[in-house]
Amino acid sequence: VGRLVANPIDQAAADLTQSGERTRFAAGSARVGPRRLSGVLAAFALSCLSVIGGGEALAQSTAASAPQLNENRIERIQPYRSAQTRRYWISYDDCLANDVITFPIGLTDNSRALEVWVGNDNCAERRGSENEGQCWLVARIDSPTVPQTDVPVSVRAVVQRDLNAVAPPTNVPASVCENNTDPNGEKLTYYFILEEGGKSAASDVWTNGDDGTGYDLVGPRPPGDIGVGVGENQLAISIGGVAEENDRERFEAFCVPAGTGVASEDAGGGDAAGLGGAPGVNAAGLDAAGADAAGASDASSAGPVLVDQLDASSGGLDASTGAAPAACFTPLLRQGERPPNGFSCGTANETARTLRTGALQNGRTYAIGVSGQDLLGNAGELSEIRCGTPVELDDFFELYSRRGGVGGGGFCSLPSGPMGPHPRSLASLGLLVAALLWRRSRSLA
Amino acid sequence: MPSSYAAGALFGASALLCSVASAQETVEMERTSYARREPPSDRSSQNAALELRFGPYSPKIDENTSSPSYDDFFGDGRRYQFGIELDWQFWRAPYLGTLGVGLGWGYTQMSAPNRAANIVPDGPISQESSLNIMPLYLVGVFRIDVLARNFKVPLVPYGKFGLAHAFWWVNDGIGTADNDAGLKGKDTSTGTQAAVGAMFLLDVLESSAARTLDTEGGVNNSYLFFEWSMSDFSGDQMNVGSNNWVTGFAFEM
Repeated sequence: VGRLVANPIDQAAADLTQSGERTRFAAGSARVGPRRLSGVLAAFALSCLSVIGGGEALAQSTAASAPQLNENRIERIQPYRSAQTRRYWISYDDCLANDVITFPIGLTDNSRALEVWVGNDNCAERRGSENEGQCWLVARIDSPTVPQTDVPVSVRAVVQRDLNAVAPPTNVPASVCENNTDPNGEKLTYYFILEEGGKSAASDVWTNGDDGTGYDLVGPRPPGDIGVGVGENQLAISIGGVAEENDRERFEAFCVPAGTGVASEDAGGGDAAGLGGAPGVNAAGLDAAGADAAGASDASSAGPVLVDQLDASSGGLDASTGAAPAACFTPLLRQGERPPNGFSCGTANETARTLRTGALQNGRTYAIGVSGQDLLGNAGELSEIRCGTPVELDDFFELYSRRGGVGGGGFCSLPSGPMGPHPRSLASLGLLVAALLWRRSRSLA
Repeated sequence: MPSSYAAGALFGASALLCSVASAQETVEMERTSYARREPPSDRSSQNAALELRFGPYSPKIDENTSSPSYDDFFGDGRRYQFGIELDWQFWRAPYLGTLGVGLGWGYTQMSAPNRAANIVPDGPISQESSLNIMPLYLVGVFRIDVLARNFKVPLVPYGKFGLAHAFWWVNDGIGTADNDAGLKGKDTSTGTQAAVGAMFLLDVLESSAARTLDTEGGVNNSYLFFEWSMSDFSGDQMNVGSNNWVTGFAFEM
């Protein structure tokens, strides 16, 4: 899979367009086949160079063997994507969780520092040059171990994208996760470089094939219009005003009981609204409302709002702010902001225009918002916020039964009351049989 | 399904099979003897009829309840049913027509929003109940085609009579509905099926095409039919029967 390419002698041969292949750069070595021979051949090439070019090359004591990434053993703290796609991309949640991706790098000597650079340029070439292009340093190990060194890379360091950093960033704050606004994210390439004198001595390149790697922190745009229909223990959300967007994978609805988070900074958020008492609410994932919701709302700067801060005459905050209507006000849902964790109440695929929520409590008013969600699970901004209250409903069978209708219980059930064969049924059956018997006797005759 | 019905149906099916088996042996003899009396024909043999059926459907559910529930819930708007019927014409009555056994299937569905139980909802009710009815029936069919065959009158009156067995189920917008007693809203109803109608022989409109269809496709006759259909499922069960007209196309093969 890998290729050994002379650097800087044969840099031009480094074809980075072959995404998916790991490309390895080794200083002073010509392109060779078997990896075992690389050291010998590199030494031979170096000897030739020293003869041809003078004594400068001789200053290097040994040729650097290219580091080798073991792709099969890359690990990350956050769980992998369930869809097995974009396994090594960085999502907003990964960033908030300060995920760490650990790269196992095979080395043959530990005389040089090992650096990890990311970017969308040829960082192996640029390392040490005046213009390092769109590359930034994310990790460095001064004394790597042989034969393998595990290099942890903080995803926040990747997301921070500090082109001027001379050392790997440390303790990057969570606020960096809010910086990137490109809904399509950025595809990146990882470079594992053995550094020598501020330049690249040898390197390995990883793009993760067609799946790629990079970061995408922003979800797709929300629907332009939603409506809420009433159901029993559920709400039906109509989705309208949907703009074309390649990044959208599904829609997700968020249901927050009215009043949740209001004047309750010390009361535990959603718990104060009595979520625990809602039958079936657990199924909608609302049980975890309290702490998660508070954390998420902080992250999205939609902090708790006290009731007395609302304008009673207007029924709540001004609609232009994107706040939930007064009838179902909660500071946790606000149009144009990220949805809170723990209040998801249903999903629908990208083409659906009706989303039915999971189990909600009858008689309780909920603030409802919808956001788009991409492949990485990034939730986009919330739509406008609407109110909805599930109520107890009578279906046709309930009405029929209450008015004396009988039957039901299953296709194979026995009748619940006394019941005999209907005379007409027997008569028709008898007639049919008689006709056939008559026909049979006539045929025989 | 009541056990008495099941026993009856089983008995009927057995008798039917016995009769059909013996009738099959003599069909060719009948056809031969009948052919001697009929004008010469260059048509292929005729053994079956296929009907593609469509028509309104108004179940008689309210006949078995103390107060209207169907009309109250679904309204009196017209609902439609589509179906299919396959007849085996096992005997040709000389100078009269064909006697056959028909097996039919139909399906209809009606939906309406559920009703708020006690309070006025603060928005439109989006959860609907749907009543699904799928009748099956086994009927004897007598088609009088002597007018079309012998007198150039392209009309075939017919009658059907037999048993019907209907599956029905109610979905409350989430899944199968259940009532206050926890009884699932799905069951079967058994009753009778009858129909009278007439078929217009389409072959007369394009006789050469009809002959080609017979020669190449084995379709003896094509009809546009119109019938009055009656099904009844009265008794201690949901009466999902309906009296309504049905129209469609029929093909004798």
